[in-house]
Amino acid sequence: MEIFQIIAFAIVSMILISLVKEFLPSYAILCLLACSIGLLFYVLNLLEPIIAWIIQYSAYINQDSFKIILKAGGIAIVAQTAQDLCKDSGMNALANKIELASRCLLLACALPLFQTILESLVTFLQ
Amino acid sequence: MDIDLVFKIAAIGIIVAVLNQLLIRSGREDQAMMTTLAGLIVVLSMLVQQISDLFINIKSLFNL
Repeated sequence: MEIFQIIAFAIVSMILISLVKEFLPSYAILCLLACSIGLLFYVLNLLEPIIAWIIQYSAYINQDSFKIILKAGGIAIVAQTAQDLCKDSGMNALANKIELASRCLLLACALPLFQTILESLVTFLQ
Repeated sequence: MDIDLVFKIAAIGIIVAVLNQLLIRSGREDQAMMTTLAGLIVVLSMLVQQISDLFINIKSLFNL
């Protein structure tokens, strides 16, 4: 199954990174970045059919709300990886800034949905 | 799942580290720093290509 491949990949690269960290700490971060990017590539390939299925079945309900949800998902994934990388290399300040930025972006892209809810609420109440 | 990328970077890291120690022991600290810098730049150039591919992939997948 795919999960065993992912775990094997992570364990092998974890050992390599701890080895490289022994000699040169700055290289360990680069190795960590490469490993997380490789894993993210693999996860995106796994995610491809799921997203296609979501878009296909979102045609029944209105299309654009699902697009916003997908966009929020993309922002969250990218921001989370960057945040974890910063935390691993010890830069907590950077990690928190990335977290703040991703929250603002998510809020910004969720506002139209909120607006539609409010409008429908107002029409119900009148 | 290109594990060979991680192997490549780990190999470069170890080689540069050994070179670094070698140069430091033989008294050439500045050249040691140069080799470390060169290795870093090589790895970074490889990584930048991977990062741009990743972002293009994410952009197309989540239609950001």
